[in-house]
Amino acid sequence: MNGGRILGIVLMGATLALVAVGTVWPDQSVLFDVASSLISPATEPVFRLTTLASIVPPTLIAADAAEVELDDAFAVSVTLPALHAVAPAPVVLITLVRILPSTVMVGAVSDTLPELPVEWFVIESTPAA
Amino acid sequence: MQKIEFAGRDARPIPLGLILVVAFLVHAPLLLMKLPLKSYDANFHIFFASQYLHHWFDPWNPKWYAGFSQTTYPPLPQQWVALASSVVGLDFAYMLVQFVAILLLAIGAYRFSRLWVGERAATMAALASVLLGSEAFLVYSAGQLSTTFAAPLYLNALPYIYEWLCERRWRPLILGTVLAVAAAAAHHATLLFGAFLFAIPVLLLAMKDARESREFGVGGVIGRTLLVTVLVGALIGVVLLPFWIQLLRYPVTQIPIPHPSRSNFILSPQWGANYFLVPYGALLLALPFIFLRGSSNPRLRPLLLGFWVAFLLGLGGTTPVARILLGRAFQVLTMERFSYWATLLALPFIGLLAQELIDRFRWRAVAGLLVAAGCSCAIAVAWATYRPADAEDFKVDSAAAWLNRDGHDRYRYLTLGFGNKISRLSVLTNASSVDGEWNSGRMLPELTEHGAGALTSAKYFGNAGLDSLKAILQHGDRYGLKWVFVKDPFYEPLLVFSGWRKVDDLENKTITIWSKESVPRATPNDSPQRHLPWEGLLCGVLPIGSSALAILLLAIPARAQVGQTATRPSRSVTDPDDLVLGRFVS
Repeated sequence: MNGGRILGIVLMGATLALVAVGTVWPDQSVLFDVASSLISPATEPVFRLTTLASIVPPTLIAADAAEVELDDAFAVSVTLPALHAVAPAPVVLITLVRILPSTVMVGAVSDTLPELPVEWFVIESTPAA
Repeated sequence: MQKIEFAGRDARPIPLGLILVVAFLVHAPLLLMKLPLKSYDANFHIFFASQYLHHWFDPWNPKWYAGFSQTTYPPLPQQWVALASSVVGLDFAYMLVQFVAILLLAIGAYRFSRLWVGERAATMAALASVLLGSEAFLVYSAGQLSTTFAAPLYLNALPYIYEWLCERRWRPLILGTVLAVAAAAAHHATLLFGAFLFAIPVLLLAMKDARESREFGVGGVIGRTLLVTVLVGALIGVVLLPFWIQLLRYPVTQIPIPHPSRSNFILSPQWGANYFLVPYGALLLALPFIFLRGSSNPRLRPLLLGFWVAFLLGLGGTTPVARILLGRAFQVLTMERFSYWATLLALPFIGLLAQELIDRFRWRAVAGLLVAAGCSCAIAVAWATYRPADAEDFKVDSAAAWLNRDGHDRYRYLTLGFGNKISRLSVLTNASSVDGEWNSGRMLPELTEHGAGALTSAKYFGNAGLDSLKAILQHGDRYGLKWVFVKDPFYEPLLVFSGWRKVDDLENKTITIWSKESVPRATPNDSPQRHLPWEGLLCGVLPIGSSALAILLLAIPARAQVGQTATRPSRSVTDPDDLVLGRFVS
């Protein structure tokens, strides 16, 4: 095989490897920053550890409160609240962490206004079927 | 017999005039429909242009952020919009300048491609640029006038600079320099990040050609590179002096604002579609060809390198490359422009691939390529409809009329739920707002300390956005903030708790107006950011002057160039020897 072509194959392989690295270990700094403002100090270390250990990286979500059922959280599409194109009110913020084989959800639910009380919760649930 | 005649005609390059006609046929109807007005940023550029229209030498714009300096943004495209608007109005002037940018891209793609490939492939690359998905995405969905204006100028400048490096003639040096300076005056991010991605491959090509040539050596190329770098750098320093002064005095130290182009496109497939699939379109099918041909042909390797880096950066957070290479700039820049530059760098490869496919498969290849390119362009154009910048389309004329009557414009206002309609509203009204869409130009601490974008979309920035909104409502008296226009009822409880009351409504009560008593009149913001008069004079003269000089010099024909091609690639990749190594389609 021509040496130059090997370079091309190496570059393509490197591209795929970089994509894999970025996907398996995505940048969590923004997530941590936002989560730190949401999660109580006691649960933050748990959040960080579980985040780093998770197979499916957690992401903050914004969704209609009426449509979110915590038992069915896996069905909710994930995105940063700031990036959600159309987030109807009221907004729910949930941090979702998934560790196989069990699932731990750590996060916060806020109602319409930030002035209203925020309910902190840590939920353990069974993995999605 | 017919086949032979067909092959003879087919082997000719596409006339550049025909390519420009195709560009007209594809884009003129879309621009006449004012389709870019639905995009994210078109109204932003029109708003900037309106300031130059009314106050050419005063870039201090009081309509956003209680006053900000437009010298924080290179002014060239907006100034051309302002100039043209005196004839056709602001909206059509925007379309006209955007169309000129599209034509410049076709010419630039041809000239840039001639450095790397033969005449025929270069014309196919130019034709591909007309239907490029990333161009259509930036024009019709993102509304990035400055980015799409600056990149073609660089593509046109670099062949001249290559000529200077290889031939030591003064005319190409002057033309390349003037075009590069005009490009810098059009867009700062393209200057600071994109220019290197285009220029370094050309420099490497010149050095390669120097090694193979007996006429000039590598040392000479390096020396001339230093000369042209110093010359262009110095002129850019002067032409954009007000911009540099602002940047040095007030560097962007705001808390980073999230942007979906920095996300991981696999974990967030909706953004992958938006920032990867749509801009690249059918060009994705050519990626193996680009890598294999680019690596197997020594002449194309510098171009492949530039493409690869731009491609990786354009992937945003999908790989760690952009975060590592760009550092803090990763949190400030939006990444779609890197994908745009990557597709521009891919154009010579596309031209080469198209040429080989047509040589091999004739009309079947022509049909297939046109369908693929047409679909890429069509989907990117239609994307603004499927994923509109604003969730809801509505008119802001009534809000502007309300502000302009009965002295309401003596106070400042804020909108909530208006999306990027605030730029359009700002063009139409005389009143000043505490909000805006140019995050790097804002100085109000209530806006810069929370990591959120425009207040009108506060809820989409989560707690940061709502904290910022609460802060500005709390300090509203300081800025003469008396009116809040609400399109989204989400914010109404917050306004009630903050002491605001509903005073009027518009558009069948879909827009409500809120107010507060005993708010002092808005006074001019005596910001230290305000530029000195001579900075406004420079801003009004030099950027537009650089482009006028470029047009003037290009209009003067070169005596010694009659009958010559635009560039002098020593060996194009259509040479048979080069095709042997990596012929992909045969």
